[in-house]
Amino acid sequence: MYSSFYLIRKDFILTRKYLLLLLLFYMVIGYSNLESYIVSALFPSMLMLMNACSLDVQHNNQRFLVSLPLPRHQLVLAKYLSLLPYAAISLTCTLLIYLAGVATGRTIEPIAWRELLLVIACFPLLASFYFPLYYWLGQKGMQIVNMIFMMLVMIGYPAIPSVNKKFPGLFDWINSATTDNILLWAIGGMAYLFFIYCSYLISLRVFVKKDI
Amino acid sequence: MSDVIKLQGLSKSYDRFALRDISLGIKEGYITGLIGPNGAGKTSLIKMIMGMVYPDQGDIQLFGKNHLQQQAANKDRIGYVSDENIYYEHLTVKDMKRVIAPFYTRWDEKTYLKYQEKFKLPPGKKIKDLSKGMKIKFSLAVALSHGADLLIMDEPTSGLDPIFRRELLELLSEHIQDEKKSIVFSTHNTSDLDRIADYIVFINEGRLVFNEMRETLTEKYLLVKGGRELLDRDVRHMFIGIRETGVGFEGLIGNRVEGERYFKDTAICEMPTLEEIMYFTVKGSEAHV
Repeated sequence: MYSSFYLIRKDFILTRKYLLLLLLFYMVIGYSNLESYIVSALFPSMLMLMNACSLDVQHNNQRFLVSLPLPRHQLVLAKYLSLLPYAAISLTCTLLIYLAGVATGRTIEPIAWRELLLVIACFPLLASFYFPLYYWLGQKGMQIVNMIFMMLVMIGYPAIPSVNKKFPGLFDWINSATTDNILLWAIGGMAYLFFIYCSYLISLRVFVKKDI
Repeated sequence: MSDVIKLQGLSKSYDRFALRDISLGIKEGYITGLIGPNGAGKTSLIKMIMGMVYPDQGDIQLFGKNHLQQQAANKDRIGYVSDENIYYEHLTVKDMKRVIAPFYTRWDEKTYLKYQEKFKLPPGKKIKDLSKGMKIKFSLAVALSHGADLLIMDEPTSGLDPIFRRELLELLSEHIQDEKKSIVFSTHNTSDLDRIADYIVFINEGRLVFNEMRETLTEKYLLVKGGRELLDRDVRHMFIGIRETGVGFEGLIGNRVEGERYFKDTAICEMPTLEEIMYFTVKGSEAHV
């Protein structure tokens, strides 16, 4: 477990400089598009993840990681665990944008927690598609994969309101706070975790036997 | 005398190259030089030992334990110096060390600082801005700072200036003084091995040619120089490899006693250098393709 912590710490040391610039940029953009601050919450986490992953496959850096006294599954596990701090940073930044909006009087609406958490929860889901491709393609295919995922995030950004129009029931269900749908939430949550776990197993299978 | 590394029937196939049935033992407490021409399979073999590449067949044991099952524990006892930079280029030396140190159970900060000073490593300089020699020095400082029982070095002396090259060889000799530490290093430069290696492993075209004590090698092989008239069909078969010129030939024989008996009175018989053994073995194998 300590190894995972140090591997995540390594990702933050690697991306430290980009991170400050990225978050500053995101907060300025987020503040200027305050009406849709929630849907853009996916950006910083996804960018941080892609940045850290790209740095790991550049040059011979994977050889360095594999030379460390760690089993390979630890390297994969740490990447999945790093989703938590990335998501937390995304959440914090989005909240700061909202608070800035409130402080300057640009918004008076209460924060939409459910929508915000749902968007944040989409990040691990997206990463669960990303990771197996990342481990499978390595350095050669990563630029294409990164581009595709960035496009997905950017296309998804304006697409969310149209999903709302097409499937109003979905958003009604999300917004309903009745206790009788706890079971549905539980099933959804289990399916969500199961999906991430399956992605982890696939990544593990790809990476554990891969020649570096 | 136990084997720190034991390879049994190791094979690996690539598109245009294959390592075939490599079985050898690396002795604990000694320096072993891994030699062979470009593309012979030295780096592939080191990568397999480091768990970076998986063999198609065969078994690897390190410190008497199965390497595939005990990789993490084994690597904690290995210092690895790569032929290429494997560190994050945009990080500074200090940050890179911060990344590496926590993973090793026996990391010794004082030792690292000692080597940082000795090698004049600038902590604030980015890895990408270091020269090839400085990168090797940093790798070495890291490898020596976690109490590694086994140093595995892939072409550590290539690109180094002669002064540091000598210093490095002296450092390696000092490192194995307690007779518990072992070193494996691959090189093209056989003169490095003439200075410090106890054992020589020679690989050519993915096959093990020999794994012998350096001292016994020169007793085993014989370099013969003579006139071309000596070379009839039967005599040619005695040689591992022959180089013919307009006036004569020189060739390597694998059986010194037999060679001396045959050529003692008709040709010049000399003790071959490691480079000559390597050269004629490779030349001989090319001739038989």
